[in-house]
Amino acid sequence: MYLVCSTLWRENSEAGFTTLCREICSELGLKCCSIWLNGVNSRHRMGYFEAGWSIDDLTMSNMDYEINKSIICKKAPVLVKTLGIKDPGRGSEPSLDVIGMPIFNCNIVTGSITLYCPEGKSETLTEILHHMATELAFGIEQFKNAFTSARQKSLRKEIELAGSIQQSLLPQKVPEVKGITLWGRAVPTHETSGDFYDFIITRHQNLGIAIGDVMGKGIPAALFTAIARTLTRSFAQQDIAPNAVLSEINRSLYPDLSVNGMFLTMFYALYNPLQKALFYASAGHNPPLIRRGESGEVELLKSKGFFVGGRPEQSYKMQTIKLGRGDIVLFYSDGLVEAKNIQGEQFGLQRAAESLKDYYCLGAAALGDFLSMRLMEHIGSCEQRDDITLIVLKVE
Amino acid sequence: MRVIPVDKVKPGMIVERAIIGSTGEILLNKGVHIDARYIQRLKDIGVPAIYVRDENIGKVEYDEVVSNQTRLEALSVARDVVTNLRLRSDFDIRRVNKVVDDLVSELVTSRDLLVALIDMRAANDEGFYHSVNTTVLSVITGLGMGYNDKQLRQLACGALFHDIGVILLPPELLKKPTPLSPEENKQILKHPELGFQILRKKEGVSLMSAHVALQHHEKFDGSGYPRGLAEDEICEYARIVAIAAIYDNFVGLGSSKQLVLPHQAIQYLIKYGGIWFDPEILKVFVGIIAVFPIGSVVQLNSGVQALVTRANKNYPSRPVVRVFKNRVGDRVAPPFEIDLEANPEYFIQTIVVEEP
Repeated sequence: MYLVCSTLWRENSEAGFTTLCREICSELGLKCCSIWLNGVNSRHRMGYFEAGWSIDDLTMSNMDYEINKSIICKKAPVLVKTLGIKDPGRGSEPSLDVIGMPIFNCNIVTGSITLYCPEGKSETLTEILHHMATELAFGIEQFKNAFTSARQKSLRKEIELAGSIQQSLLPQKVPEVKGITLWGRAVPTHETSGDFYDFIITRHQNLGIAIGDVMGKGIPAALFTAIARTLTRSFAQQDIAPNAVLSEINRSLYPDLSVNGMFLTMFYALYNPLQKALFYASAGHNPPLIRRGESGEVELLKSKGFFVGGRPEQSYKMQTIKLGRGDIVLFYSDGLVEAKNIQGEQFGLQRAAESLKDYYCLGAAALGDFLSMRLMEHIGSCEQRDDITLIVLKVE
Repeated sequence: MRVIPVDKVKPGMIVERAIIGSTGEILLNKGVHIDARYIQRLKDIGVPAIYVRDENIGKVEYDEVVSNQTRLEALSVARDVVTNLRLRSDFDIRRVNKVVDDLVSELVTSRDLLVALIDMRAANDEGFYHSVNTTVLSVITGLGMGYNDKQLRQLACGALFHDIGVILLPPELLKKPTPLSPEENKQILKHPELGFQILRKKEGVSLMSAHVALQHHEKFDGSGYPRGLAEDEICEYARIVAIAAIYDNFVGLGSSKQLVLPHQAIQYLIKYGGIWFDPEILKVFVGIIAVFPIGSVVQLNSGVQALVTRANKNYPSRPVVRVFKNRVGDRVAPPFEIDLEANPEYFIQTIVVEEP
């Protein structure tokens, strides 16, 4: 099976995986079988076979999405006994057992495989499924390594692992803060990213917003984003003023960054929901855009400051802005402004500002969705060259 | 079911949502197999897009915000009113009130109304279809603003007849292909007053409704006509109808034969928020429109193509989508659905308007 898998993986052939699923179903007398593989920020259904499916009834196909999502996200097997599919159009179908398993590769979930079998058969199939998941993992691995040396092999694995760790370091949930809507999204170019962002609820119930960009790519950059995030968290939680947060981070990171000739730009803002005030400081990061609810004008939250890692002792200036109803703040990394279309034109601040003007009456999440869409339409078929991170805060 | 611009319609496709003409006649019924003759007809009547069945994607359940029966009745009432006004300068207010009541009570009983379909209309619409659509959109907006039954009925009546002054102008004038003379232009600019005079004198029509006809071309910043009123000087109903009518003109007719999608129309409206339109009402209006209507095709960040099958009222930019093409463009069989509200790792990258 692993030979089959490695072939299929190489050809990225969903038809091949589907044939595999069909074979599994007919061999084991199953109703349905599916194989999913994990991609960057998404999951792909590589193979799916369901005996006697009809386009008018997608119950099982829809459920399969949820089941495999759960397996991959929770990194744990799923067992559902006597699953009844209630659909008047179907008549009385015998109930099914569902067993699904993550496909592990050195503790990283690379996908999942799920079987839908007649009731009561799941016990006998568990072992077979376990076997299949192992073989699949092996097969996929086999292909990825087909043309690489042992050293490269382990490197690639490390990159994947780093990417997966980094992904888990991004905010998994947007905190709820009274009076505002909030939204954030990271669109990495590769497995690992040099960008990071974070939302922190501080000890006094203020909201800390951090966005940063480590100059450089790959593992070294990713490594520093993780350290910067941890440092930010620990300083931010104490409700320390943003300028002090940045100088503390600089003091801690300077020795390591300078030795490696690297640096980091960062913007840190602290929002106080009671005063509706935003305190902020910048370490050479792109100035956020603010669209004023009152006037409709878009301004830059300019704040001068040397990047982190430039000098051993660095002080930053804190600025304050009072936010009013309808004000929208867009924090971003340079990937947004520098994203190029096919003619080589950059997305630029102008387009970002226009998006804020055009979508001002939407909430932060919808506004972020529309902004991403406009950005992706701009990039079109071009390759995205740099990581893009976006945060939207709106006072409702 | 998916929405397809008319120039992409091919013989063999099956109509999934009936196309209704200006006076309530059914131009193409649900289930009709399209042939070359029908395609020509669609082009002749100038509908920008139609809903067709797609056997590879499967059926999509959708709700009409108002029943076809009520819509047809409203169209027929609107037409009769105009005919009667032309013939004997009067009309039957009871029929009007009845259909307004029906419309309002149907909309009031539906919960969480979201306009998730595009109501396209024929380019040769004499204004009736536009009036009914504007009424539906206005009433839903009124509901969102917390209006009571009486307010909704006054709003509905005003919306239904907001353009009565135009409809009563000589058809030759409206269809004139050459630029209008200053005299003719003046005549057109008079339509709000013409409509107001008719409604004002009619017993049983509230003065508030009549003011919708008079003021729907006033603009929020005072640059409109006939009186150049601004902000609160314009009656609230007229401020609602101004937004609903422009929106319907965009998505209903398209621009120069191209389909205008709701998010594009909304973008346009927002651009003029606070200038032409009341920004607070605009916010309510944006909340009742599903920005990605059911039947539109989108591309997700994972590279797959999917059809919008259900709108999320709380999250208009994150509908439920059905994935039917994979990253490399192969068919996904059977398709499966992702609720974008519950799966924030996926997002819509673009709207796909291309060959089915």
